[in-house]
Amino acid sequence: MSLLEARKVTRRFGGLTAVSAVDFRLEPGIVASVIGPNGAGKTTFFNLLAGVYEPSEGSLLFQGQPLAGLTTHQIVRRGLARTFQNIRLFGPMSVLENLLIGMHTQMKTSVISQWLNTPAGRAEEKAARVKCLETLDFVGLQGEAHKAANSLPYGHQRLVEIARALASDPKLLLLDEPAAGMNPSETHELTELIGRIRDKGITVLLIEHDIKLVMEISQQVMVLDHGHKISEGTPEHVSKDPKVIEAYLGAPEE
Amino acid sequence: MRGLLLFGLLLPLLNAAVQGSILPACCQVLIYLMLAQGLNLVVGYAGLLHLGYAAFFAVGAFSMAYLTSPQSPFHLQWSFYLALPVSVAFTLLVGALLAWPTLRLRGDYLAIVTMGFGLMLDPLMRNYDDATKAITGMAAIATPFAGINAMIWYYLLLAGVLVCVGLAYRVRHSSLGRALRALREDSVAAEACGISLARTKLQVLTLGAAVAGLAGALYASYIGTLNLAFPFDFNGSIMVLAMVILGGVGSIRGALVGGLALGVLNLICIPKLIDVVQVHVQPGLARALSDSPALWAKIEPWLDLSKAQFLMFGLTLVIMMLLRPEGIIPEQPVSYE
Repeated sequence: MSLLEARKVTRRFGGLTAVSAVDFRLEPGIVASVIGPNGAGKTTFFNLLAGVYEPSEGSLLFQGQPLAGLTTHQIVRRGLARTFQNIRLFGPMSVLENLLIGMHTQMKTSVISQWLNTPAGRAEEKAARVKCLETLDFVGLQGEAHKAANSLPYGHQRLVEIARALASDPKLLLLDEPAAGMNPSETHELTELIGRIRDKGITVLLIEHDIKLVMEISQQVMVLDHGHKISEGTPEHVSKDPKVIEAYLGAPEE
Repeated sequence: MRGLLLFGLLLPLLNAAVQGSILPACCQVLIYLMLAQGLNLVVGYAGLLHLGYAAFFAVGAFSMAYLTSPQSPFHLQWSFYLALPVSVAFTLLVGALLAWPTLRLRGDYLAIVTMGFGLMLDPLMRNYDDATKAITGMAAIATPFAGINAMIWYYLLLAGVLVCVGLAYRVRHSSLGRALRALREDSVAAEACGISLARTKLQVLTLGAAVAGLAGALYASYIGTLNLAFPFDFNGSIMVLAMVILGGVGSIRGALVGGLALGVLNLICIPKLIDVVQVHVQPGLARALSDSPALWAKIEPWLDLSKAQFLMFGLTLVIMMLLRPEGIIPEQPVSYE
């Protein structure tokens, strides 16, 4: 069974069709990318998956279950976490607290027992902190836990956002342009991190403009242009597809 | 804070030592401190501007009166100990019911709806006075025990304040507190972290109402005779809001200090000043100006400062907000170290 399946998904905004009849299947355990020129509908496709928008037509299945009618937070509970194109951290809060908020869906103790400060509630809170610190180590931010999130350099803020998404223990991680604004060495570290996330068994779907990163890490690439899927397959296949070259560079002159 | 608590514990003794008479006013200040903690949950923690908080205070107070007063239209005359939890529970329920339709509203719109509730309750109860006894009032509201005096009330209300502070502290350090901060900072990102905005807002609005219900029920029992007047109307809502903002939005200590500052100013300092002017300044000036009665006639009406109570209150607020716009004790991020 595919982890994620989009069936003829269409999304219109008034007269504009941002995503048009896109079919997409994502197998578990891989890194896949969605690429395309600006305005191709990539972020809209992500927002459809994350429940920010409902499809105008078509349906989305996650682990065989339809996502229709679910709100964003319910979808997170099902195991689909995301990051944002423009970083959206809880700025004045500490890095650790950002991750603890990411773990919100994992907290099982009732609010009442947290208020009464029961041993079970305290144990859960302690375990959550340990797990968040481990996640910070995993993304390479050990030692930054107690700094305010907005005091970190840009590249590290991106990592905090990824760590926050990982804290929800997702099955599928959506990364919206994770390398945007990163320098080459940061991008290299990010590429390596995405590989390690996949090795943990978490499927990764990313939107990315850095073609080198996409080609290096993805097993599957989907190309969108003007809302349509124009090509799909391995990185090698896609990079040689004339339709893709045309979308990016324009049609050759006669 | 320990110093403040110590002072609070010793205050009645100091008052007795100098044979002062400020305990009743102090009891009212304590009620305000409870309200400020409750409203801080909603306005400070969650960033939801609530302009009708005093209406929940009224619901709690009138529940207590309806359940226990012999003049209540329901003729129940329950004991204090039964009526207190029922009043709190009822206010909580009203809070939840009112929160329900507002969950999808943000910012100014929530403020307008809560303000509407605050403004609506007052005339509604007044117009149905036969049924509500809002103007006629109800006397002999049940107290914890017969013959209770101001000093015992003071300590009881102080305990109530400690309960509210404890609750605020636990919320701040719970996952609900984190969810509220997340929602306040960035609601889109909060939702992407799996936080249900509707559920979180419902919880905090309900909780805020429950605290107001507790404060209201204790207040009704404390003053004994209840009718619909100042602290229950829109001015009351703004007063509590001013305490929270002045103290430092989102800060527990801020709400305490802000409540203390405005409560003491409004209930103790300004009345004392009015007294002093009436007793000492007025006769002195009258003697000094006995030669020119025309001038005295012009000045005299202005010396009744009770007419300028709100002016003094407002001026103090303006000055303090100019000097310290972030509040007296601004909110600090939660430390997990």
